[in-house]
Amino acid sequence: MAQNASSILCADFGSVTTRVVLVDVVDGQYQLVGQATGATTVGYPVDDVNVGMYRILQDVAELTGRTFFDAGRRVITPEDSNRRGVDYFLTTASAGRPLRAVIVGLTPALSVETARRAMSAAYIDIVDAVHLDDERNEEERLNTIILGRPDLIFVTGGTDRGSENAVLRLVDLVRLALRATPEPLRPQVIYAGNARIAATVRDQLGELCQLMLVQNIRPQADVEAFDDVLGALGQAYDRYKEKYGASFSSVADVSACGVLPTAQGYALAAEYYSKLTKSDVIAVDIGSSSTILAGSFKGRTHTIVSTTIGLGHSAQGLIEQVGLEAIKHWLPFYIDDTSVMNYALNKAMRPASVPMDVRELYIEHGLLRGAIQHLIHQGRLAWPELSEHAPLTVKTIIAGGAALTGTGNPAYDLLLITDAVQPAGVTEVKVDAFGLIAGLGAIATVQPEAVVQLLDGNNLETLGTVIAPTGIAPVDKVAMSLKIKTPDGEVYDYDITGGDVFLLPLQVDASLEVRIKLRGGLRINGRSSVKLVLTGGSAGILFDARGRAGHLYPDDVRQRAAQMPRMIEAVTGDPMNAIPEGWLQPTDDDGKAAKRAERARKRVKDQDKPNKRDKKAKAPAEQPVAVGEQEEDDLDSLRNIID
Amino acid sequence: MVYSDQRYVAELVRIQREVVLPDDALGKTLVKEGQRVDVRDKIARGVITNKHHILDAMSILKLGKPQDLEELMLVEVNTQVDEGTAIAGRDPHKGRRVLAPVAGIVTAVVDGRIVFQEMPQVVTMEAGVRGVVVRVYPDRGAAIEATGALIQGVWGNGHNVIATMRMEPSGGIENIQLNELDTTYRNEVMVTSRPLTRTALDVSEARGLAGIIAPGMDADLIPDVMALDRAVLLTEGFGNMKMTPATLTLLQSFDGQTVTLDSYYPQRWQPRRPEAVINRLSNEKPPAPDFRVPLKQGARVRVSRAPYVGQIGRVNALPEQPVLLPNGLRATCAEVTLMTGETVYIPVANLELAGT
Repeated sequence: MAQNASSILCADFGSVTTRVVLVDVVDGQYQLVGQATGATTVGYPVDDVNVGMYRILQDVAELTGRTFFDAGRRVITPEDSNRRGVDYFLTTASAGRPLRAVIVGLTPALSVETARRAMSAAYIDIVDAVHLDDERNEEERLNTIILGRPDLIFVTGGTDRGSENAVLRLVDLVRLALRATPEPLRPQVIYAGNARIAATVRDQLGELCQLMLVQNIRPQADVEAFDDVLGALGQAYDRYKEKYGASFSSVADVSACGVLPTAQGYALAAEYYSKLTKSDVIAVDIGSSSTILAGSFKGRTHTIVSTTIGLGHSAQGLIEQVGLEAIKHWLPFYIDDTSVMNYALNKAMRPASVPMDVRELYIEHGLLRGAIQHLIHQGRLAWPELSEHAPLTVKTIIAGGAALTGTGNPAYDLLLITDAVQPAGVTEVKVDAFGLIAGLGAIATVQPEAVVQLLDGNNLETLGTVIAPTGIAPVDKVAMSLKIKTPDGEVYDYDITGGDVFLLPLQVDASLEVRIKLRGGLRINGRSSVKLVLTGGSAGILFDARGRAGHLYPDDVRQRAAQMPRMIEAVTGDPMNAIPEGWLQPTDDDGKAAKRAERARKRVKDQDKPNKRDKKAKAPAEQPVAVGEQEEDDLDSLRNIID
Repeated sequence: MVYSDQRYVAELVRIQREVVLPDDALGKTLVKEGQRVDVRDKIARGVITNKHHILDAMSILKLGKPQDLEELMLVEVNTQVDEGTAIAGRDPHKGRRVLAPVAGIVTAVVDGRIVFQEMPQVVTMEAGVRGVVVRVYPDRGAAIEATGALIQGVWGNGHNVIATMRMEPSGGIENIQLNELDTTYRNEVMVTSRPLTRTALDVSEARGLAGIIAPGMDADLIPDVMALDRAVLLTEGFGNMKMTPATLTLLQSFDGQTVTLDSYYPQRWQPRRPEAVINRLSNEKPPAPDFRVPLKQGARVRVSRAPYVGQIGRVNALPEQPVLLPNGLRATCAEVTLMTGETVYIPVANLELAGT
């Protein structure tokens, strides 16, 4: 490519929406100069990404006055002297069927688990795992691989100085599976295990399939290394898309980077902001068929991509993973399980559609909040920098996707993001209104400096700042007292009741000094009184006095019905949609759920009660236990010693 | 420009139907471009991999080294054999032999082991319509063009059937007597304008219906419907859905005619929809569905979401600015006058082109 390359056109193919951004050098800096979105034409009825892409590029061409296509409708690269075409055309995708993978490893807790983590950042469905502890015989393992019909077999196991024979047994199994599979249907294979036998693996498998040998993902017992394998997974995804996404192959031919996974851009953005601000960052995008959660904490970046959680194509999968109760908890009305499933199935069949009435909007946003909280919980379990229960303190949230950023009201977007992520402390929220982040991962492969300049510039919209103290909010009492001082010296006092939120509109370039006094057990960064200088955003500053010690909204449905519409009205300024009384009658499902919850509470309570029999037992402390005599249970022994 | 979803409900249209093998099948296309095909004609046949066995030939034949097995193989790789057939050994009729555990195929010989596959599942794709092959996909299938009425649905239970279509009696499917001796409706596809219920499923089973076309049903019926051995196609969605008047009227006009019910079970990544097709001859070549038509003023549309789900209307205008919906969302909308006379703003994402 030319040394003075500057223009970059990125197309990101989501399952529902294709987003195109044009980046170019303006006044010596890479900037976003044009963008457009439109329907992705994958699947019924057209099933050719080029159709939708061409339409959207025409829109960008009209906006910018440039030409991107030749007479044959191919993107022109590089840019010519008449400014026709672009220097780089890059594509990313989250659309289409995820790649199916089978893991072949030594043990579930080590090699297989590490492999799962390595693949968590990719658009991969792990259909099964084969390992030496899986209680299958060789034939069963062979069938697990073959009948899993994978697009990729991921082989790992053994540290670099560890097991060789055991790993080679597994490689032999893979060889059998490949030999038994007709050549056109053979999966790709990534070997990411003991490096000392990599050459043997190549001899065994190299002629049977497309084999990628990468650095061991677990070179030592307590070290995981994913840098190398992530590149291989990207290649595997690209090849898979070319093979099975017939129309993607023509796009990949023209793209300078093939077709990369969309998620790479989110990880990059999180990592960049984390380094820039020297603090923790979360990036999240919930789409129609998949959801991305990237977190950068203390210098380490992690990504989770769920290909079965989404608000459109994957709505049914979302409910199966997250659970109906976790979604219904976000609804300010009673609803039976079947109605929620009906909604999800209808949404899966019409993924681009939007809710038009209040009830459906709450269900949609219930799915969204439940899904992101579910993924954050997964992150808490998988990412060592996070604890399972401590409040999530991040300095920046980057949100993408139409659901999180497309209500049409920035304040509503801010409330949704706050509910979904539940940050604590002082958090700036940015949104990707233009679909830029998806392209960053691809841009980084050709012009890394462009990524830095784009993130440094104002190409991500600043939505605002969330101030959310930790602790339990006092009920019906003042929780936060604000003293707001404007730049021209005026001072305003404002009290926020526990359980409420308050939105202070403040424009992007404006700033205010705010003193906050916290009541009850509420704290910000461990303090009950703070002074902050806050800058604005398209929404403003959201003061969240709901605390971070449990659910944000009351457990009681009627209380939620009173609170949620009021909160939305307060934040958006739109007329309140009160919840009709007819929606507040418990359904049979709610009755059953309540009974289940009550039984669970009773079980816990009963376990805590001391056993009456034990209270009377005396401790035969000096009496030896005869050999062969039935031993007392451990608990009784302890009680006997104490008594 | 905005491109809306399209769901065809058309009296006479050029139907283009792709008939292809599943991704995990290897096979052959059986037809040629330009060939005329009938409803039951086979378009492609393929095989899907089945369970494998590992036969330890070295141990069974007591061989010294793996290479010895090659000269003892009695059948070649990729040969189909019956259960009990000798695959390897010094004598096919006696002595130490490796026998086929079931009917199947010798797939590979590797290091003294024989990999043996049980008979693969054979998949045959039928045309489903009477028409002409317009495009061949090598080893995958073909695209067939036909003329007729086309009703595209939203969900199916994965069965195909070709049968006479019958409208439900005035009392609905549920009021049909469960008299198994009465052969009225047997092997017919019944159209109901009411949401499908468990009672209706029981009736369909008792009366031997070949299939049902219904507007919708509750999600909790899915396991029962998937377990049926008859085709079910939903035209509108899940929940308490009514059939749109246009769809119902069209189906009524073909009462008593033969319908191909392709109740395709939607897969997330497949470009197919469940369909009901009624072949019709036509002197003229009707237009093919055009899926590249943008949404324009005057377009006839169907609303896909509550509270106007299923209603038909015409686009009056396409405002450029987002419109505030009653629920607080702001969305790009079309101003639509519904057949009821009401003029409303509907998000363009909630409109399906409904033809002229």
